[in-house]
Amino acid sequence: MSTTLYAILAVLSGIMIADTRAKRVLAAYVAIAVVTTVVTFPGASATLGGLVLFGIATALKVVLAPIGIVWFLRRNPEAEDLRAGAPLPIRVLTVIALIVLSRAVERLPVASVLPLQSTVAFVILCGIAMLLMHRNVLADLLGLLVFGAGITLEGALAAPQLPEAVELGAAFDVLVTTFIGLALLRTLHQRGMLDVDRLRSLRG
Amino acid sequence: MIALAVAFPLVGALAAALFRRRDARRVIRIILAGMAAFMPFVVAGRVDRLSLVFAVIVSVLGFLATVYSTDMFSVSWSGGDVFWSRKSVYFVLLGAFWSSMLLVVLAQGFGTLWFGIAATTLATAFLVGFSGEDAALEAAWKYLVLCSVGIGIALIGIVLLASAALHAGVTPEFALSWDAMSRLHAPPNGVVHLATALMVIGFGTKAGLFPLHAWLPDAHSKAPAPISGLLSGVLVSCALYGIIRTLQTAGTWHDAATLHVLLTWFGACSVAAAGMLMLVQRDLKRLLAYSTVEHAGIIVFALGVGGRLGIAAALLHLVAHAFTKSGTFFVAGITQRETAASGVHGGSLWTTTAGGRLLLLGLAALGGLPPFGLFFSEFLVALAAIEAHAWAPLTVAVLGVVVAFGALIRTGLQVNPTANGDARTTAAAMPNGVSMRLSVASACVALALAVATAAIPWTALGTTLTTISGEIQP
Repeated sequence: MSTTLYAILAVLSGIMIADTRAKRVLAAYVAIAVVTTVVTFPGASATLGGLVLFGIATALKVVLAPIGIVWFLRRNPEAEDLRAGAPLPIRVLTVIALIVLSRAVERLPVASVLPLQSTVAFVILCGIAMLLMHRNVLADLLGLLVFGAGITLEGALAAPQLPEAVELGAAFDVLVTTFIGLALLRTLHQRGMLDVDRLRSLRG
Repeated sequence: MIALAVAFPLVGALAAALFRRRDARRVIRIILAGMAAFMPFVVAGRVDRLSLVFAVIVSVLGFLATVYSTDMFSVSWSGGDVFWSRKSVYFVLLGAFWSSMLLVVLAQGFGTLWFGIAATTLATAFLVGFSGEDAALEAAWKYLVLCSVGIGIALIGIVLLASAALHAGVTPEFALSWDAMSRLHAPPNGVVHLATALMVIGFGTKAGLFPLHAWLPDAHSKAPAPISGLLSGVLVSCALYGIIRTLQTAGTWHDAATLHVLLTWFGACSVAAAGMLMLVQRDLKRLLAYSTVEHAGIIVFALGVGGRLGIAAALLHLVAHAFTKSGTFFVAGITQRETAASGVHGGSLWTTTAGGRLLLLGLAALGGLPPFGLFFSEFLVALAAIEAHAWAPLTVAVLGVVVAFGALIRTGLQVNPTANGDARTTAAAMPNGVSMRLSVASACVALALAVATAAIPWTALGTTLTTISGEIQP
């Protein structure tokens, strides 16, 4: 089960880092969010509070955040290109490096007591890589959402007895990222500041 | 009762917004903020002394920022060109910011603490980008991205710590409580070490520690002055509060020697890096923001040095810095207005304007000159480091402090508050018939409290800080 899960998430995360079309990357994110949701469901459904919060978090992650991004893309089709910050071979090598790095997590002491740590590490690292590999700020938003999905996965696996806390954290994390992110993204786009290179006037 | 204390600032801001008449709204806003400032005393006895000290800092400075902000907008200003740039939105966000910081410091466990820290991002991202300037939007975006990653890392650490607590026999309802964790005597394991390291990195990002500080100078310099004051003086303190609770939990649960070494070097490197970066700053608020990185570094260095003296010195430095930095940012906003109105800047600012003279006082206090509180706290931090034989990090930190002091003097003499400042915020804040009396009064009170912190070591509060330090590290 763990190998299959790892392989699915590796392919989806690979698409997120290697591809530059926003809609395909968004589809990969939704698939990652669905997979992590399926994994976290058994723990979350143990209590009524956990189940309610799980429903809210899932609605935010899998439905509302993607709808918000699609809505933004429909009005701003030029944001569709995520503008790769590195050529394709480098991006593919990055995915391979993340796989190697996440497998190394299995050797950490934490992996001896907690399950699926390499899978969790891969998703989290993929979210951080998304922040670094694309020049469009929309990719930052998608990277934060994947990062959040990885944290939810870690929470569900490491502390299954705390479904309310994990789901509340997941829901609030997505709420903050999506709500503020889309509002700022819209304004940045209106100012022609979607390119990360335009966000460097404050250096030093 | 704790819930009431936490919710009061936000509810008060919403209630004041319902009044249509401007004068009535201003008066009601100040009265409700004043009532909110007393709320920590209502919860005294229900929370521990550490929480109470922080709640008082949050509430006093939250109140002063609200009073200051009442004079910040001219009558004619009808809003900026971004949808959140409205006076009513500003005060509601300020109330939400204040409430979320109270949630952090009045929390009984890491779950609520994390929730409060995340809520501060929700409240403040729009306040950082309030002016709607391109640079402010850039700062808000960086703030959102880097702090989201930081608090995400902290959440992973909290989850791992809870997992270790559950494995050690704590029941699920207390798995996030530091009181329950502090009573554990489980053998140290790798999960706890990793968890505490991730929590320090996560909260350290929110506190702006080097090398995770990249967002701080941008966000703190681009926000309106009272928000900058709260971000630097109070929000950074709240993030450091997270580190203190982590240290308290880890320190009593298992041998935290590695964590102390990590904190000591994290702090010393932050002081040194901030000192160097302060040397190249020309913008006043950016200089003050880098100074925050320096002082956060000193506090973390003192926490790392540890011992009763080290922790007490860290707490004293935190209290003194909160009032000094907030007061200085408040004054920076006043000098921005004065400079925009008069064109006076540089050395003549000190002699020709009231704000200039207050700014001189604030910079002297931040430089750690006697008789200000930061002088005594830095002296005690150095004593604690000598006592702990932490010679190498102490040398790095002292060099950083010296360079930072030089940068404060150098930039202070050439200061031009509007040179690279947020012109639209300044324009929004232009007096235009509105007096600056409330803003000046708030800044004066904050600086007076900063001066008063010098007396803490000789008062009952000093004894309280020493007692708290004993509770954090018995």
